[in-house]
Amino acid sequence: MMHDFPLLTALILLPLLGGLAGLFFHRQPAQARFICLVAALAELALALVLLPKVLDARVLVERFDWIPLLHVQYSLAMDGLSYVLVLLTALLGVLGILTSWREIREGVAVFHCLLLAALSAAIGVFLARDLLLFYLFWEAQLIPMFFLIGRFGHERRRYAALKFFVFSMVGGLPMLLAVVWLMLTGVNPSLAALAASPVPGAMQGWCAAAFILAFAVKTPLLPVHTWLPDAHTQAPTAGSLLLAGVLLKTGAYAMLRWAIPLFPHAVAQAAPWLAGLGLAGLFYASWTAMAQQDAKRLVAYSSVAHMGLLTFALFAFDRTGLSGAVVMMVSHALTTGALFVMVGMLAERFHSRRLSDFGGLWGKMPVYGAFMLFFAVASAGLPGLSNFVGELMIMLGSFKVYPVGASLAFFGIVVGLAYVLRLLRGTILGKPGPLTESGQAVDLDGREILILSVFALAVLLIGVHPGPLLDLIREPLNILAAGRPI
Amino acid sequence: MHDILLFAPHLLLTLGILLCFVLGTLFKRPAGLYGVTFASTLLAGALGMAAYPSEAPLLPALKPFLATDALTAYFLPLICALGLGVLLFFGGELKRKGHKHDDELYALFLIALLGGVILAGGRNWLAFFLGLELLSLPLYILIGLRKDSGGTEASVKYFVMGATASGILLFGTGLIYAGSGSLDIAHSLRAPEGGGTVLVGLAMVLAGVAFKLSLAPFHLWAPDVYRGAPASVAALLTSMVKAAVGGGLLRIVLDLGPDLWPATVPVLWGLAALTMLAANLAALAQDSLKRMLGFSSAAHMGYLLMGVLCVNQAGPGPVMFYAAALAVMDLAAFGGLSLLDDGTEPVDTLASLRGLGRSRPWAAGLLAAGLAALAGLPPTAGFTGKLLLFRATIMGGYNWLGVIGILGAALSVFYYLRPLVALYLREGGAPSLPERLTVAGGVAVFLVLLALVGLGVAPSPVLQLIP
Repeated sequence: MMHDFPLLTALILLPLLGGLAGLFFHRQPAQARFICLVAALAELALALVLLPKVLDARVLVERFDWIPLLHVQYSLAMDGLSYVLVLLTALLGVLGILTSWREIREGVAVFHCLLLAALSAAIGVFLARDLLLFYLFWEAQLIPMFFLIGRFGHERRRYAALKFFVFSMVGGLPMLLAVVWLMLTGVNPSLAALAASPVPGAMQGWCAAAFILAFAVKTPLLPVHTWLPDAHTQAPTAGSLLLAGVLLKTGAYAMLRWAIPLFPHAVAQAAPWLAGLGLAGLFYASWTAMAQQDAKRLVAYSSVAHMGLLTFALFAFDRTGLSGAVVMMVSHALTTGALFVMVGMLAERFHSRRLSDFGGLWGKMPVYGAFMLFFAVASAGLPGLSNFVGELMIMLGSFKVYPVGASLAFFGIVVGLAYVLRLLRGTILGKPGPLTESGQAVDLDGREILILSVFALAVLLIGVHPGPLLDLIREPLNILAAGRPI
Repeated sequence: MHDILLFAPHLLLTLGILLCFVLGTLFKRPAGLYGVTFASTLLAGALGMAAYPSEAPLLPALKPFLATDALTAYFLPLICALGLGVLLFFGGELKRKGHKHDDELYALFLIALLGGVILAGGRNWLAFFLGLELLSLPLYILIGLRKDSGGTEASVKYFVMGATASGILLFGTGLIYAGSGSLDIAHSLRAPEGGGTVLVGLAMVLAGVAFKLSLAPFHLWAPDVYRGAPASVAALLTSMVKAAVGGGLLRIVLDLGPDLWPATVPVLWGLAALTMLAANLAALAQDSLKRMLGFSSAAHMGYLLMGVLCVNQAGPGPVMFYAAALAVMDLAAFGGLSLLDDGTEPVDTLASLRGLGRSRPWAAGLLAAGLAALAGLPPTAGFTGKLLLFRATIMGGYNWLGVIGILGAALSVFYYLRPLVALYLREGGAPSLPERLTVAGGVAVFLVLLALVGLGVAPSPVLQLIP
């Protein structure tokens, strides 16, 4: 279905243009920040406006010839699955800007421009349906995030930024070769055409390996995850929020949208191994998280653990499990994102992220304590909150495929409880640490309460009423599970 | 009338050269030379665009000399456009440095341009050699423009190596003539009687071209020369010169007959693989940005050679596109460097780049965009160019060469990032003066960035020019 105004293109371009507009006011930080906030709000509004259209038309499409010589099309499509992730991205964009309101004082315009550019690239990844266009957005994501971490991050920011870039780029280059190879085999490199005629023989294995390597780096899967704790720890708060909430999701999303439909046989063969890697990541990261001294690093490892569970569900490839995985994507973005924001609030007040510096904050900052408790137990999967829905569906679904693996995954989640308790004891509960008694222990202000309330409401909403979300993704997942691409 | 039009770009450039010399002799410090140079380059390019492609010339003297095919129609305007781009940086740098002999320098610049035009548009070996020499001779002087020992070293190095290469190349053309009895490139390489002699000659010609294109193992001059030369001359060397020589090489390869291909393929394969690996590895270890860019430019010629190897399967399109893309990328990188170098202290080491991203956003932005494009990041010319080249390589069936190329590209990520980190992620030393762009500099930044992104986002208009 074609519509008159290119709404999907507008979704992609609006943040970028807003960011560039903000850049013109680089001498007036307040104006620049305001313009970018308006752009992000407009993006969110646009995403919300699209909801009835998506429900109505099921798939929104935009397509025209881009490089006719290579049969490359500028082809975008939005189904329920893409929509959920786009909406999430737009929401996190607004919250990210609100979060950085006081944290970023220098280079405000540049920071916000980069933040919005990262949104644009990620939304492009979620919408692209042409192989080359997808690759373009995929690689373009690197640039703003590299500068966000490297310029606005903490002490070891340059190291973290370089590690992030090198891992992603080197992981992505073999994919370029595979992309080129695929472009030569099919008539046109659109997702539908490529999936309709899967690559034959051994070549499918090579191409699948190249794609999955690139996606695994970003998801991240166990042996190629090491960039993530560094990147998360060193990134500014909004950067961590986007990394956890959006960038990691592009990895999991790409597995679902591209790798599985394009290489059904190769992925089917490798699925047990990949699911195993996901499980291993769950255990390894949970275990490592417990040993962390740095609160942000702890949350970062918990993020790796959650993504491990998600990967396990993806490659179990059961219909219920897939729904659970998507709920988990959204939920992980919200809970982990909120935890990053909360650690950022601590760091902003005390200039420290060491767990041993805090403890017993509840007495001094009751509102903070309440929110912390809420998001921590949400992250651990308390029934009634969003993670529980995802985890339950993953368990139910994947148990049919890998009973042993699913049982192990259950224990992995239990291990997760341990690091959550450690995080709670290190911040709001336990004995008061050296910094707790200092005068900087000021409770949350209105802006901070607003940000966290949005997160909390979303977590609660999905937790008690996941129906609308599941309805949105039902049909796309049915189609994907049947092996047909959109 | 028809033949005059075909020859008009060359005549216009010659006229420009003469004007520069005459004005330089008549007046002490002639004004308007920049305008003359600029106008003749612009007009030459425009006329080239209008005149080519066309029927073969009518004059019997011109007919065996000038090719009027699509290749000329593409490369002639491209070379003029690149010349204009270089000129925008070159003029500014001359002004800042206060050189005395502007007249000669502008004339030399035009001579090099004329050489490039003849080289890319010539159809026999005489034109090929004449073009190459006209292209090289002025560069020996332009490279030595810097007064310090680095400039002299660069000039001498380029001269000695270049003269040797020219000698080898000339001898090669002689052998080809001896073996085939024809000076026409296409005719001599199609189905020669003395195949063995022609093959040896061809090997020598390729060696000479490999030197000009800085292909490994003939690339070791490049880093020193680029470092010693003024940044805008280095931009000339990497963009216009390489595009012209690439055009010449493409013509040779397209004219290669089926008899000579089997022997040429392993040579090109080896050169490409070796260049991609050796140059990328060497670039990793450089501390001087210009030296790094020298090796990087060599590495990119290795990618280009992959496309040259596959012209039979994929056509000349990828090579032609990449010649333009690479020229624009190097123009951005060296042009940015030339704008950063305001004459107070040399900007070359990574340390000297620190914090310039903030104090000089435009010049540093141009350099950064060039580096990002060279690294192959979308949405730039480098990405699209690489895509087309790897596509050609796989079409040609040289999968392993493609893998080597990807390996080289993965290596290159490391060294392109370091200057970017220095520019944007590190604090500057002393607060420098605020950026003041000249009009030419501003126009140059705008045009080069436009070309850089335009070739990446909308390559179709350029691709349509390619047969």
